[in-house]
Amino acid sequence: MSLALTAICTAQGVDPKDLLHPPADSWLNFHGGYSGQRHTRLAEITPQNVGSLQQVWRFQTGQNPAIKASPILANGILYVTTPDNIWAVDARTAKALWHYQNPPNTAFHIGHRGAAVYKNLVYLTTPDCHLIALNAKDGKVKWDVVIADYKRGYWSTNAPLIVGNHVMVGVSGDFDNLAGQLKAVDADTGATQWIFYSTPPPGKNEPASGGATGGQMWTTGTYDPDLNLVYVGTGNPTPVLNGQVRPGDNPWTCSIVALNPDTGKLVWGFQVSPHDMHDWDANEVPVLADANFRGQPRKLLMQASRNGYFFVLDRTTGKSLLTAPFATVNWAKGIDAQGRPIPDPAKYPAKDGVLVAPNESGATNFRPPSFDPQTGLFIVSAQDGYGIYFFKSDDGAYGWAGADYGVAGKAYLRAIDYQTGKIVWNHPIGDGAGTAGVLTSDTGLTFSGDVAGNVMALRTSDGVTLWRQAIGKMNNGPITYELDGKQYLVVAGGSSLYAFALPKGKPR
Amino acid sequence: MQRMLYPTVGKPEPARPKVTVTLVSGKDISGRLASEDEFTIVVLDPEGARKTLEKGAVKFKIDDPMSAHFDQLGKYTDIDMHNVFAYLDTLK
Repeated sequence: MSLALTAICTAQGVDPKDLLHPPADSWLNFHGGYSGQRHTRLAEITPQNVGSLQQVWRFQTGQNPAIKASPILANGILYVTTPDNIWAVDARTAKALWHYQNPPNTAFHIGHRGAAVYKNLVYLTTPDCHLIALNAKDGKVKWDVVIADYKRGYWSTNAPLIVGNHVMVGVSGDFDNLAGQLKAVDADTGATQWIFYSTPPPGKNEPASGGATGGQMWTTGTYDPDLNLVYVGTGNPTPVLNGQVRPGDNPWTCSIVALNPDTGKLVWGFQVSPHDMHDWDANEVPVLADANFRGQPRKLLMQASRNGYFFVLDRTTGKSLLTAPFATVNWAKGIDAQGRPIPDPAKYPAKDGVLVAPNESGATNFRPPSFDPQTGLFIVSAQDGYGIYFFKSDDGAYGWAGADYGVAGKAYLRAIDYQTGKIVWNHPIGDGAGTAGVLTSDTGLTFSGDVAGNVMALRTSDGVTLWRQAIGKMNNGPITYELDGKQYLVVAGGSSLYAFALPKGKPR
Repeated sequence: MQRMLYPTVGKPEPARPKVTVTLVSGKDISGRLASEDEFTIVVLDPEGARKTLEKGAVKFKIDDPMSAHFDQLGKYTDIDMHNVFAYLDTLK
């Protein structure tokens, strides 16, 4: 560990009630709130003045890995992560206050999604599957627990979700025989409270997955305090491209699951890709909204999933309200009575190669979407893409169990009408796939990034660009907050964080 | 097979799209497209020099043969794929 303390901040601690009702001067979890809407009510930055946004500061990690995390803001301090690293940064000046570095390890360092805060602690997962609680004031370790065995092939990029005193952390892993697991630990002590398995742990037969393992929960879930339910997406089954050895639907892989956060018990599950054969994790954010759906008030859950379909569920019951493609898809024969796409076996990986849309990186992926309650638009970084999938049993039936190659893709910011699934507008952002998440505002703005490295503000109603700055490739979701009466927009470009705000004295 | 479907890589390197830019002055610049985003277009002139132009300030026309390849991806059938693979297999 290296600990560089350059200043002492006077953190007052995050009151657990703040997590339910985040103040304007905060961004307290990956989504900025429990709903996953990534939508702000801050109203200083508008379509009329957004063209005047200026860079206020830049924070450089000084390291090569890109920032893929959503920063957390609490008590004027930003916490930003990369694999094995977390920095505490003064949100007014970008001055680094402390830096914690996990010891070097050989786990997979693909990226990191962010930290979490509770009371006076900041929580960091590491590639080698530790969950570390750090003192928010100085970065000193309060406790450090192992959440999975990285030597078996697990790793963690997860930004924890905290509900009450439960710190819920997930892991990743595509090797065979790795059960999908979400673990809750005590926020004060690190003691394990419960583990939810999406596929059977060693020696168990439940849940009845048809022989599949996997189903990792590597992204941050959402939470409905009224129903006291946590919603989490689960990843692909393993073996990945060979379904012959795991017959059936393989629950609860590629699913959205609703869990009781106090017990970890499954309340309901909805499988968005039954018997997945293409590595289409359903880990995309399950966005919550209370809204009318075709004339009836509903507690909704929406997901634009990696498999190319947009799902709207009643989040009380898990029943489907709408399933519609939001990107180019050719792998399903139709929609079943439960609202699930019906896989077409002709699109399963094959010896002579099968051309499939979307490709393995998906119609969307880790990049968080946003729901704008004002317009009813669900805005997602989407890709129309194709890949070739191969499977030859004589090359091995386990592990990845085949090969796939992306052929081509085109990236878009795409606005979906949540009541019909229809695309309201479609904003091209380059070739390949986008990597930036989306933030919307009550004032009618959509912030995101393109493939070329521009951060952009679009008009939410029609997707027209109103502002942009070239900052380098955006790999995270934008956040916003208000400090000292000024609204900030914070995004990552490469391995730097950038803060933008309106200039002083500018008419607003 | 990947390169056959969408030949962006390989040897010889596929030609970049052709682009013709008309400046405000009325002068035309023709060359190959180096890169493009929503805001700028970068042209390689015949001498290989890069010219970066704001899209809003010029008129331009891109002739990109790859767009037809992309459109075609949605039209190939599984039988087409099998036949292409079978053909490639005979080249061994």
